[in-house]
Amino acid sequence: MMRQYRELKRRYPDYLLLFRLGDFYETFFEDAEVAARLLQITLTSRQGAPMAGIPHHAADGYIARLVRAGRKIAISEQLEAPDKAKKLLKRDVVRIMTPGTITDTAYLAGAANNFLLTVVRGREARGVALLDVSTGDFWVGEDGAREDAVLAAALLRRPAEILIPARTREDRALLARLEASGATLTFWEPDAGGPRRAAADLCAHFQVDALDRFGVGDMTAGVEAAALALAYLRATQGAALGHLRHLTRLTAVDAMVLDATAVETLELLQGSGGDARASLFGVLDRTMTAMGARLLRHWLLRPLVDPAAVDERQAAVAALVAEPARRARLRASSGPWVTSRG
Amino acid sequence: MGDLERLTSRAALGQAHARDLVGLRACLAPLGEIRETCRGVEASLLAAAAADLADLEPLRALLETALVDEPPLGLHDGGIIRESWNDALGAIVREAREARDWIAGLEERERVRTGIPSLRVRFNRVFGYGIEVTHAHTARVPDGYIRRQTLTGAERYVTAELKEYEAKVLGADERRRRLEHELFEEVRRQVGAQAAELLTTARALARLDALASLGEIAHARGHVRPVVDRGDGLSIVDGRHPVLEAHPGVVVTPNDVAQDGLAPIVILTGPNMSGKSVYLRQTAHIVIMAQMGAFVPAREARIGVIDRIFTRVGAQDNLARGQSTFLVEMVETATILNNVTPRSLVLLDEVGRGTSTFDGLAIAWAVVEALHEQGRGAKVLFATHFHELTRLAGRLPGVRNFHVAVREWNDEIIFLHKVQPGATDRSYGIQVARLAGLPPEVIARAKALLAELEEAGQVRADARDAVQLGLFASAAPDPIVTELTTLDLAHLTPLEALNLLHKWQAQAVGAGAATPARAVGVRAAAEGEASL
Repeated sequence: MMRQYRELKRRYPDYLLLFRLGDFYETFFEDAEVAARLLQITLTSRQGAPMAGIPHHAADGYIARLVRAGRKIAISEQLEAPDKAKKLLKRDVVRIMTPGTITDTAYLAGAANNFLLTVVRGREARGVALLDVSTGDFWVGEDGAREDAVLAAALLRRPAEILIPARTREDRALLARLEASGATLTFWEPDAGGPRRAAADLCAHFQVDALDRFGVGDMTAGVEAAALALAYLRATQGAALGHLRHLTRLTAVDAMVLDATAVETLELLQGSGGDARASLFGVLDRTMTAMGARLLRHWLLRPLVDPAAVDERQAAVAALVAEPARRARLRASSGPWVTSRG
Repeated sequence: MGDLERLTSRAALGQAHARDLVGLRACLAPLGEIRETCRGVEASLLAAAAADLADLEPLRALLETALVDEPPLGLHDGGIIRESWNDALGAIVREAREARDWIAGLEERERVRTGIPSLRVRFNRVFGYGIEVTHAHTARVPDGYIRRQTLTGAERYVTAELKEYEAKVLGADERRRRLEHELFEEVRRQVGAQAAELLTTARALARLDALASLGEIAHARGHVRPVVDRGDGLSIVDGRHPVLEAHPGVVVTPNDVAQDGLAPIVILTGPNMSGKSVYLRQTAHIVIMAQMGAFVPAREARIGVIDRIFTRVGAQDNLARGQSTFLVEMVETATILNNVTPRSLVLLDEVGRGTSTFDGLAIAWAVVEALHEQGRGAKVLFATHFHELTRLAGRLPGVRNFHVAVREWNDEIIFLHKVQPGATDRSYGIQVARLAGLPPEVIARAKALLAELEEAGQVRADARDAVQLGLFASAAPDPIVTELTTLDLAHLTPLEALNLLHKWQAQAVGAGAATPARAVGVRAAAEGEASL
């Protein structure tokens, strides 16, 4: 059995491997030490190997805690019914959970997106894609040579996980910057196919002839970044990604630029001392739903620069200010949040 | 209302639990009501959002008839699907229920038949159903009872008939679990198939919700609709700090902002704690709120579109990260100078604080000059305790002075938090220190020192002219410097070089008494120049 464990662990070296043993998911060796520390569960041993287990019926909560601590999890199951004869059961990894790919509303902060960021260096440009599989938001952008605004804007959205091709490991400066964001870094290299193959992949997924439809037909590295994100999700979450139906162009110029320093010093999301309620977002947020809160947060971090667009939004606000009864009915219908705000 | 966006995504991914779909069902219930509420709205965004709410009533009805109201967490234990929804499921459930009813009635029937009052029918996970009879009554057990197990105080029996019904119950339960799971997956597929409509609807709900939230805040706090245009003005009348004013019991002092392309730079002076930083943040908040489409906390506001807000606020903030304050400060200042455009808003709070006074003042001075030159109209708010900077207003046409008003009373100060035109000439540091609770003896000593320093400063200022005169009049170059500049390094041996060094050192030591005086003179000159 330990040979079977080692074989699975060899295939998933960067993951904390949960090994199904009867009613428990067991972890061994270093994984067991990590799990025992993060989950405050007992560290025991089996045939001399450190071991820590979580009961299968309560696994969801434990797994969520590991993921929130930035760990990537591989879950292996017993693929045959236990037999009276004591032979070794077939086991395999059936699910991968990572900080950037979880969808369970019980463990995600309602008012914030949970983004997977991919960064791909192309010949002339650097491609950036932001994908929240839990909401279907999918952004793609590119920085030209010596440009940086799109990556900066993407990092501002505080991705939970950053995925980069293994070859990017050599770019020390980029790596240091991505690490500084606090997100979990994942190196992954599907069979590289270049921009053309990436574009074909995306077209096939979105069932379109060309990516022009999303206004991103001119991109190369950006398209690769988007295809990488999609491929990673397919590999970890399975093929059912039909709810991802749009690509949106991520640019730095269609909005007021607020960099990380500004967001911090102006206390837009957190007041001094880290209190979210003492921030600008905290005092402006009177939304009734999680998706409304995420949108308001998006508006706050990307204020408009087109006066006509501002005017259009103001007109809607003015109408709702002028009609308190309608506003009250609208808010009452949306009801209070039913999930915790996280 | 639940998180329709995420619940839909989970359904599409095939990850949704029964509870997720029940939550999704609840999101769909008020759609008709919301559509009705939006009827007749004229604002284009509201009308468009209302039009985007898809007709999901058939899907809601499906979920309503298929799923029970409070399903369990697991998907494999049954109890998810209403038995009325599927005939086969209904039949299985009925079959199981009849078998259970038969078993439930068995205890009473057997008691009557055997006359054993303590006879009990029990279920055990290992052995299944059994009839327990205490040892005292085992003699009265009828034919057909098969003994299975001896317990303390009782014997366990089964009968062929009981086994038959037990098999019915367990078999029906197993078939029910499997069927329910299949049915659930089918329901989940149907939800996933409508992911596009669901997500469009979720996003429309999000827009309505966010707009209503902005309306709610504007109404509750008395915010006004600002004018946002392509002009070069930044004008706010009676602006308030949106976060502070939301704090119950806090009285905020309204302040104006009036900057335009001709006079885009404001040097803001005032004692520590007087509210300079609040004024800077408040201005940025109002600009952000205006451009996100919100109303703003002011009497009126007109804002020429700002393309980027740069900040350098709070010199202490980065200390915790172990980086040099000064280095961080300079990196951020460099970013500002390299990227500023005429449409930018630049907030600088005490730039130059992280180094010595003269370095700091010189850097601050140069930064303002550069922003005046390169910013070409960028709005700059520069809060500083360097009063010398206020002299920039007289030298650069785009720079004006403002200060935060303070009232002095009996050697105490009262913060008025009011920003007014003009400069201050004092920092009130000692008064602020007293307010902060520094012990009286320390305050008294500081005052004495201040008086001493001010007097010495006067003396030095007198001396300064002499030093400066001296510098310009007796421009006799230092003999060492003269020798050094004419030296031919290419033909110098190391030994000769060492000998020369030795000679110069001897000369320098000889003139030792004069050296410190020269250093003071240069410093004083630097200060004098900066404060011109």
